[in-house]
This record gives sequence, structure tokens and C-alpha cells, in this order.
Amino acid sequence: MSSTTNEIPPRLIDLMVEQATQGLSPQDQVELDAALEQDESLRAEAEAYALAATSVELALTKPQQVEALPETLRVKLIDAAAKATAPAAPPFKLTGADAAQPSKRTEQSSAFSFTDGRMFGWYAAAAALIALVAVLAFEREQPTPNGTSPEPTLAEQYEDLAEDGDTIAATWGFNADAGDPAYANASGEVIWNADEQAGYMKLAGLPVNDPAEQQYQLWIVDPTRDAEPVDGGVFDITTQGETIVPINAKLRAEQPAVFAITVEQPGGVVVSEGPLHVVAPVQKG
Amino acid sequence: MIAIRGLPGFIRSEVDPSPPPTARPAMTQAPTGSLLQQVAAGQSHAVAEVIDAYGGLVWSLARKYFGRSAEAEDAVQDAFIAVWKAADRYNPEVAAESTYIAMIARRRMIDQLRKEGRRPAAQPLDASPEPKVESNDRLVDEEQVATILKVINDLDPPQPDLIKHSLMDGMTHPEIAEKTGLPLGTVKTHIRRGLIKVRQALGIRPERKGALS
Repeated sequence: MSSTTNEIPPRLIDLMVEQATQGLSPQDQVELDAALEQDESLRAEAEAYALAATSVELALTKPQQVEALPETLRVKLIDAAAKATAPAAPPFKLTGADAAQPSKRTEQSSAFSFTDGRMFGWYAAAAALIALVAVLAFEREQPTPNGTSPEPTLAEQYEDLAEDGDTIAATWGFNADAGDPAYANASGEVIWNADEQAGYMKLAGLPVNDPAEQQYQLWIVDPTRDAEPVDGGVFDITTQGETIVPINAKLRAEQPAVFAITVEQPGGVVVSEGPLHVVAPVQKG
Repeated sequence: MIAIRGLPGFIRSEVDPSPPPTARPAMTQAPTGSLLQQVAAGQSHAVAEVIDAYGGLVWSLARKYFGRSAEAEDAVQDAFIAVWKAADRYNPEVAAESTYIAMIARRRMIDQLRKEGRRPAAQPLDASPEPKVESNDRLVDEEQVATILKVINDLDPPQPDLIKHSLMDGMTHPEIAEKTGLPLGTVKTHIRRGLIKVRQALGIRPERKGALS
């Protein structure tokens, strides 16, 4: 489906112009994003307004407001890029000392505990981090001549899986028991398809994390396999707006009862002490 | 064709379709080819090149919006994450890389300010330990500035003032309506028409038959 400019509903044009000039409220942003997902030509139209507004602003910016990038910030950006472009093969070998680092958490009381498989989990968490970063930033298809990728967007992948009759869904909510108000505005949905062993999280309202300091980690509680939660992978939140995150479960999860999110050290942990900031219990029935 | 100062790529222009100049501007270096397409293709060396080429552009925007360095640094890092994610959607037929990157960075910064309930207006610059580029440097070169100023000044009143209020003063459309006494719908229409004129003048998008005017 595509639209010509004179066919675009006035409401959408208003949203495009407002986005280009003053930004949108979260509600309006969701409305516009939903429309853009349906029609690539609408996205091009929205970007054309944004590019025009940007060009005007750049041109009218006074010379005294132009600065070179500070060297310290440049180094940070380059370092982050270097980490992100690390080869997919494991860039390190675990030594005994290395392996002991994450297991220290098992000596403390914890909401989650693993009785075995620590090394596997740690390797898996590290590999997942590398893979996630690589997939997000660099393992993209070569753009087609019109500059768009043929790969479905995460939103499209989410919707495709959500439409499968075997896919379960649960709603994210603040875990009041954990009591950290920073996560009080968390919302969204998680979907999981046991046949495909695939799922996605749609999240909003989570604080943006600094990947160098902390990362979010998903846990899948599946009482039918054992008492231990399945590591669903680590991920980052770069916006308080809606984000879609693919689930990267390290073990099979056949009948998840609860999805939970913790905040962990970069790369995640094998054993989490919690707290479970955000949870999504699966409704029976 | 109109060069973006310090940056590779050029805004397509129907005004002056001459080839890009070869001289490198002072602010940054000018790599060749579409760096964003290289990033999207997984060529990791291009990432550092993008940072070197456009870091000053994004930093200047961040300083303009956030003023204080700590917030501005966070905004730059956040903006570049968004740039990496959007690299595969860059179309060199539509706009220069610099404009595309600035668009993404600017959108992220405005969104961040809105989340904090702040006005997406330019902040006064405080003293900076970082060296400034030469005083005659702009984010775009003088020719581009002249082209855009001409477009804006040729707009029918009150479109020039409304666009400046919106883009440079950070006023919302309702605030502009209140300030000018114009109906909100009229304000929106004027700003939309002004932006369409800018689009047409810069060749950002091919004109479409039957486009709104």
C-alpha cells in the first residue's frame, strides 16, 4: 500500500509536521508510528518534512553555536563502536578466575538460583550480548537501491508472531513488591510461541540504561521444565518510548507462567538476585 | 549543488546541480561514498568514519538543545545509537548523510526534552573548554544558508515568522497561535506549506503531482 501526498489524511500530515517541528506526545507518536508501519511512502513523507525542518534549523544555527566534537566524547563513541563491531566469534576465553566472577552471586540469597549449568549460562549470556549487539547494529542486509531493507521490521515480526494462534501474550506491569519507583511506568506486552521458541517484548516506560554499567535481563519462568527460570537474554533500553526486543531464550520454554525483568551487570548473569522490577504473568485459560 | 560544511554528501538541489566541491571544510573530514550504507552493510570501519565526519554536527545540535555538557554528551551517545539503527533506511537519493543524521539526532533530542517536560528550544551556550571552529563556520555552508534564507524570506507572510518561531524559538503550534492571534489550524497550515517550499527548493523529495500546497 502506498499513498500520494494529496491522499494522506490531514490528521497524519499534522502529525508529520508536528513531529518535524516540535516533537510529538507519546500518544501522538504511537498514532503516527502505527500509520507509518502500514505504508512505507508515509514514512518517506514524514522524513521529508523532518529533513526540511532539519535543513532550516541547521542553516539558521549561528556560527558561534558550532563546535567540534570533544575528544573525550569522541573516544567514548569510538570505544562503543569498537565493542559493537567485535567479531561474532568469542573474543575471549574463560579462565577459572573469569568463570568465578558471575558465580559469586550464587553465594548470596537470591530470588533465582541455578544448581548447575553455570558455565553454559555464562557463555550463553556473553554470546547473546555479542550477537545482540551485532544483530542490532551491523548484521543488516545491504540496502536495496531505494535505500530500504527487505528484512521485516521488528514491529512486523512482532505482529506476525502475535497473529499465530499458538502464541501466548502477557502484559508487563510494575512489580510493587520490588518497590523501585523508577520502573513504575513500565508497560507493554510480551509474546511467546513455544512451537517456534521465539518471542518478543514490547516495552515502554523503562529507564534508559547505560550498557557499560548495567543491562536489562529477561527471565522466563516455566514450571513445567524445572524450578529454575530460563535466561531470556540481555537487552538495552535506549528510549522511554516503545521498544520491541526479541527474546533470546537460552533453553526451551514450553509453558511460561511468568516473564520477569531484572537489571544486571553488563552481559547479564547466570543467577539473578533480582529484584524483579517488571513482571508479566501469563493468564491461564 | 549545495555542500554541507564539514560533511560528506550533499543535499540534492534543483537550484544548483553542480558537482560537489573537492575542498575539505574545516570542521570534519570528508570520507567518500555513503558511510551509512557501509555501516548498514556491516563494514565496521565506517562506524568510526561516521563519528569523525558527523560528530561535530551532532555535538553542536546537542549543545544547542541541552546546553550543559553532561546532558549533551548523553544526547550525543543516544543519537548515535539511533543513527546506527537507522543506517539501513538511509537513501542517498533523498538527502545528504549529514542532513539524515542531523534529522535523527534532532528528533531524539527533541523527544528527550519532551519526555522531561522541557521546551525543545535552543539553550544558551555556556562556557566551553572545547575549541570552537572558526567563526565563519556553520553547520551548512554559506551557499546553503543563502538558499534556505531566500526560500524562507520569499514565503508569504506570516509563514517566515511562524517557521522561525517553531524551529528556532521552540514554540509549540498552540503557543504560536496564542502569540500571533492566528487560529491554530492556520498556524499549522502555514508551517506545513513553508516546509513544503523548503522541501521543493532543496530537492529533498521529488515533487509529486497533486501535492498539497
